[in-house]
Amino acid sequence: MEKARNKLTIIVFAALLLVLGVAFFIMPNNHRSQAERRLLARPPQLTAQRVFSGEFARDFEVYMQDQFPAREQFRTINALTRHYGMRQRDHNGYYFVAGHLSQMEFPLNPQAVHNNAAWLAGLSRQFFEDMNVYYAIFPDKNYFLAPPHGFLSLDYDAMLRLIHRQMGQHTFIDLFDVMSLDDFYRTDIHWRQEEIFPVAARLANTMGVTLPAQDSFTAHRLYPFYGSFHGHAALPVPPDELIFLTNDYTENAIVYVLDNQLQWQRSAVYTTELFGEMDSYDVFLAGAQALITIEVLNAQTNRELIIFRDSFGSSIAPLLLGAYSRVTLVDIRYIPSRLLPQFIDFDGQDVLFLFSTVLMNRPDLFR
Amino acid sequence: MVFSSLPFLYVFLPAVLLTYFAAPKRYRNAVLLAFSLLFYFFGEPVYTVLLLISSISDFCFSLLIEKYRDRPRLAKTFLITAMVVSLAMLGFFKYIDFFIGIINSALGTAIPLLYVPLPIGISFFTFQTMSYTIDVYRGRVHAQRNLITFATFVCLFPQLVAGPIVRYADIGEQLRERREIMPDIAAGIWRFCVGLLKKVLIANPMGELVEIFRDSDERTVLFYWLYALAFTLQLYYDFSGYSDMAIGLGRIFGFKFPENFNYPYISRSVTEFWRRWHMTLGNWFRDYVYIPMGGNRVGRLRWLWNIVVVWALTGFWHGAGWNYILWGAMMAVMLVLEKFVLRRVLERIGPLAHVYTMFVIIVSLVLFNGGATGTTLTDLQGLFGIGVALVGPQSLYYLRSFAWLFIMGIFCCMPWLKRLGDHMAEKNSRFTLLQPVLVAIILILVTANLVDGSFNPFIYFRF
Repeated sequence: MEKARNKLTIIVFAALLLVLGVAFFIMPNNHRSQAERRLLARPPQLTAQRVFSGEFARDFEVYMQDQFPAREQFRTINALTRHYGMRQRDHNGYYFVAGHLSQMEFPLNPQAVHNNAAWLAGLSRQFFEDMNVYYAIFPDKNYFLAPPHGFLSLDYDAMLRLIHRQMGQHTFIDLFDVMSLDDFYRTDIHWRQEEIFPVAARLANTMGVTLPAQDSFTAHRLYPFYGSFHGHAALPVPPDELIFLTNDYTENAIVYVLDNQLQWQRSAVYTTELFGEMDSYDVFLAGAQALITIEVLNAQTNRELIIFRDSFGSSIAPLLLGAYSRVTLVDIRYIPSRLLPQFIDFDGQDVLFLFSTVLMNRPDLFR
Repeated sequence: MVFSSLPFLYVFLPAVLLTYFAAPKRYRNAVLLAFSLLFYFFGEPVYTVLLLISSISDFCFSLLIEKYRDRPRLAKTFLITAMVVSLAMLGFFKYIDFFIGIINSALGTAIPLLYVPLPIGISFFTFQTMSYTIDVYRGRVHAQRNLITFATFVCLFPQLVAGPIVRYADIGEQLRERREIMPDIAAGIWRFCVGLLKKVLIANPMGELVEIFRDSDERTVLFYWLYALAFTLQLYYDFSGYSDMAIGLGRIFGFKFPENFNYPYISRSVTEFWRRWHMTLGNWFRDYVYIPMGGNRVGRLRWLWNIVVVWALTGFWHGAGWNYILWGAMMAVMLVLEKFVLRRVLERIGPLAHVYTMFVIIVSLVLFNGGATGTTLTDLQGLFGIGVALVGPQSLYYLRSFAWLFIMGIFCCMPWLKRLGDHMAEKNSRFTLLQPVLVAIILILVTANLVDGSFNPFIYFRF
């Protein structure tokens, strides 16, 4: 029996080492990881200088991690080991509970919140002196998911106090009580467009406009939608369905986005070609864009709205079309604020600062 | 290069195994030497020269010592010169900035620090070469006349960077003649995989908790104790895991390295702990420092002095910092106390002796680790609740999150699992067939962890 054990031990060990080692060298390199939404390391450059500085060794290890055969399957094994084997509550901050994947956002960074709020207040003083300015900070999914299940989360009250201290002169739109966990995708950070009518209604009511009726929208379904948490957490959780809503206003809207060369390019409210690409949520207003204008020719009013927003804004803006004849979306993470007057004529529009608590807690994002 | 890395497991190890076992016996040392230098070069390209200098220096001086054995003063001069060369290398690369700091503090000078990067494993290979030269001088071993064989001993990659501290006397014969047989290879593979498991699946997650504590702004008694316990487990699994891997790899190549750990956390006194922890280092200091100073065969005061010196040096060996020296001194105090005061008490209190030992060890390790972050005093205060609250949300969360790992970590520190395995194998011989299955599972889990790019430091590399 011992002889068989010894033989098998050697065979298993040698086979695993050889098969995976050889597979690493013969399998073609992948350019990017769809699950992790990042480019993967390429073979490191072999030069004497890089070898002697130790750079080659470091880069080779990263390259091997990135290009290892069955990488995604191994990542899932590791996530399962941490989650079920070691019973760790989170792995790298990602956790799975009540059917939802999420990333712990903790602790509150008071300095970042203060700076971000002060930055927005400064922007307001600079450009919107006599305009109607509103601000709405909405909770991330951890607000609903973390405390009841014993995970760490932000001190949301403290965060709002810090923001009010800077923005108090403007009208605050409280969205905390009109949202719930069901508003969020199970595998992604974002809210579901089809679930946020109450949010849009609260915004519209406070800003004094009337939204198109909910039943005027038609739902379009895209499947499977693997949200950003899905790839990062690497747990085998079923994908979401991405639903986007159209009506007359979205169908007839004229959308322009500002490209990297600061030129306007024609776009669309929904870009379904981007579904299945690096981030399927980019279906909404073509994803991360510094500046977007949406003209609604058949709008009920001639009022205009400027939304300073993060990625969540892309899916709520289409619900506001019709209530405004022109909606401008600004993501001040991607464009320096000093450039704004070149592209936007600030003249009597409603201004809405719409940000998630996650973004407000991050330092040095606004330009 | 570290053992728990993908390049080692899936490139280096298959390559060295294939080449080694394909090579004729007479070339196998050369194969091992070449791959060992490559192994070191991959992590420390420039300092590979240092490794070669150390090898050549002790090789030459030992030959000279043996040649001039009948001229004792000359032989002693060669011995002292060899020691000076080794200690000068160690002193410069490991301690120079510490000494400059002392000079600057004492004399008010402003000599700039050199910030010399620490060559990985220098404390280990320097002690190995020193012990060899001393043993040649003492006539315990013959000087090795083949430079490749000697360099293979010094550079042997399984134990090169983090021990165990293998003496030439341990493996001199094996360097000349050894047999690589299937039972040894299989046992070596198993031991290597157990070490990998300890390192990657227990030590690394514990290290993550240590990092979480360091990065957190919550300071509570519970968090300090979680940190202390996590570091205690991390250190053991990190270092003993590495030793297991080293011993296992050695066995695959036909070497029998000395054991380095023997369940230290079951000890019922600090004295017993040091008979079970990093045994090759303890033995080294006993044979090359403590006994030459007279050991315990001297007057009581001199004996105490010997103990203090040995333990201050042991602390200093671990790192260039006062916290390491203080840690060594604390160990010396505890050992002396146990010898003169506590021994009888500890024999009488049964399991409480174990509690006492672990308390001393955990507190001492907080002192040990505090120097790396400059928080020794606040860490010690925190453990005893001075100026901090009892619990907080983060400490409670991480207690729950790491509870299972703590239980596993503590359970696996004890010999129960091994006893259970031995018992099962004895009852049913087919049980041993689980070994290859476990080897596969461990390799897959470890690979999964490494592919995921999880936290993977090696604590003892810095010593």
